Amino acid sequence: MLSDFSEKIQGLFRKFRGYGKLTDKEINEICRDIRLVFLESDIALSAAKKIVEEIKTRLNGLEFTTETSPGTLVSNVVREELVNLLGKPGNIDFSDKPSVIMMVGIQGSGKTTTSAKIANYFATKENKKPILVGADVRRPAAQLQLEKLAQSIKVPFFTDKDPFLAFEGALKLAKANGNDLVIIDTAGRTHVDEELLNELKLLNDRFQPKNNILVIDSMMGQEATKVAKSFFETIPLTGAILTKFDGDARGGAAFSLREVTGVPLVFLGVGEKIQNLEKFDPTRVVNRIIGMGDIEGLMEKVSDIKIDINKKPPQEIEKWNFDTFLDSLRQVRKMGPLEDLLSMIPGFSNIKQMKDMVPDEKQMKRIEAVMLSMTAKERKKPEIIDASRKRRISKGSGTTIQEVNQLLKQYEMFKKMFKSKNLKKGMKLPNFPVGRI
Amino acid sequence: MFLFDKVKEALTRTRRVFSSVVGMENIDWDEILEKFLLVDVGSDVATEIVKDAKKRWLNAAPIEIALRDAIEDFLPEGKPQLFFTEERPCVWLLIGVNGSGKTTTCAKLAKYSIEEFKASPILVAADTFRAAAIDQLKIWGERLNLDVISQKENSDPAAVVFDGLKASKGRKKSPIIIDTAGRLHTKDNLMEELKKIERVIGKEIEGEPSEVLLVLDASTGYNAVKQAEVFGQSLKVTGIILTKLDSSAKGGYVLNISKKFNIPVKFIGVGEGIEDLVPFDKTQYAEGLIP
Repeated sequence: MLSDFSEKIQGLFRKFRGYGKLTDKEINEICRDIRLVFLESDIALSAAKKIVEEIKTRLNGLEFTTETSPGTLVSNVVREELVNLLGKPGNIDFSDKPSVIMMVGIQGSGKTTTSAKIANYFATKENKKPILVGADVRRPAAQLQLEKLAQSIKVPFFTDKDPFLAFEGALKLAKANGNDLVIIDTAGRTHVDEELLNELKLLNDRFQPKNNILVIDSMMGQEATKVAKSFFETIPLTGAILTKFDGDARGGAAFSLREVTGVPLVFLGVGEKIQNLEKFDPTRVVNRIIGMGDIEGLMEKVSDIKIDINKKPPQEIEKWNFDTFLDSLRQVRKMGPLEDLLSMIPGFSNIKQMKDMVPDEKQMKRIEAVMLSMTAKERKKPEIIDASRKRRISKGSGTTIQEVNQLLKQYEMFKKMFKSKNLKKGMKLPNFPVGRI
Repeated sequence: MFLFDKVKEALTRTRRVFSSVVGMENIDWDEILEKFLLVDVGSDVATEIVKDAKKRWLNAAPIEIALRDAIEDFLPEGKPQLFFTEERPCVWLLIGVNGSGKTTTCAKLAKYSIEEFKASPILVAADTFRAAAIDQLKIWGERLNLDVISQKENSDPAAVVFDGLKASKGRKKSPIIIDTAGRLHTKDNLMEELKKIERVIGKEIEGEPSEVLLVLDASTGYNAVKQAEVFGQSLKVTGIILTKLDSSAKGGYVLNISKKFNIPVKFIGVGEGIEDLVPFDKTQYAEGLIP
């Protein structure tokens, strides 16, 4: 996420880590560098200017003591100012019965997918009863796309031949069926298309949805603020969602949106799967950029996956075998790519070499394949695996004998490691340390 | 000329950014540089172009001519063309990040091939991931009266491509225009999937795909350069199609891509209609940028 931006920022901090006391000249130099990084990260000119001024004022007023290094002080200031710039997260207003969310934005920003993600979010996390409405009658198969997504998350779907009829019909249906959240997916329109913007205005005037949400692609450049402005001038926007936040865009849009239009961010789209929608939290976003990790996000992921209590790994090392390993491996994989999880651990993104040590999805699959090619007996008692069994396992899993050997070796090492530590009763065992095989 | 007007119209919003430059009494080069940054030209290339323009201006060229020529000379010579031959079925593969406009562009390219080469194109729906992407392409197929090869959603895209090639050869259709699923360039596994598709095509028809077209959204910022880099590392990208140029001011990053990776812009999308795909012309582009 925003890896390009965070690399630049972190590089900046490394540069003046060694500084002692900061002189005026050095402060100016730092501020110039920061401004350049911001501008190159697609942050709007006005927003970049403003935040750099703030940072400069605060740096000038800093007292440098021997306890804290200037590097830490500066990064604290930058972090706080970035958090300020992002602003407080917005909310969805549920005061209407049913409450309505109208999704707007330009073509290809991700409105349809995000509509379904929001329905899924509120249905699973806040027990809402959403209905998805396909009001995009322009793009071929757009309604069908939403209908299919609705089916996949078991949410009702409604559409009609024009957006006004769809809107009206959906409201009636929601009232009749007790749906408390109506999500309207509108057609993509450019921010310079007067005719279509006018249609949006008419929709808003007639139905007055409490939530008008602008969907914006986080890869968008300097254009993002203009888009936001022209939509904002057409209808009262209540919030924004940045999509494709899992790419390596510089995310300038995120940092200038609030500053330029005052529209708060509500959610972030962080992946292709329907559950990849995150509540926007400025501190967490900035911490990930500065390389401070996102422990909260990690905990959320852990609590999100439903861990099967019966499959909890046994506390006693004696009871560990490949069956338990397989279970824990699958539990971890449920949380998503390992790389994403590790980037949430503080300090981890700073260690470049660590990236190469993390097994990717493909390797995880190979490890899983090796374990699955063992017989039930072999998984319970790995000691019985001899040369001929190894040959069979490697053939069955499409791996080499060396790979099978390595996994067995790692298993032995793991057991030894924890035996030698004399684990106390009740101490939680970590998951199987899956290395590169 | 009709096409020219359309391009010019599409770029009007970009031009507005530069309009204050023309007729400037005291030329502020820093301000000009900043303007380039505001149309998403990266700072290194912007600096280079401004430097070149300054040289021309000192040689008594009017400022707008100096800027236009600097931009034009920066882009590669010659008119970019799509490869098409009647000797073998040609494959045009479209790739890009989510929402850049691949499916619509497939249809536009099919129409273009009919008009330009009197060809008989066929569409292959290899975006098996996005819900209803196949249906979207099928609707275009119906409108244009073209065959669309497809399988069920979530089937293996490489298998769809393989079937598509077989069927197209049987039906004597060419070019074979393949729509792929949008993918962020940061997803290694999805980039591998694309490589597999490219391999399947090469195995089935030697020398193909003759065109691997990267579809880029004009409103994207500097990240587009990253996209060109990573897609270019995975596949042999032969050209860029710049979409949604009617909607936004941008597309300045194509100058950076051209310099860094030597990938030419072949087409620009200037509207939602099937005809709204225009071959890229650097003179028009430069003239569209600077009034």
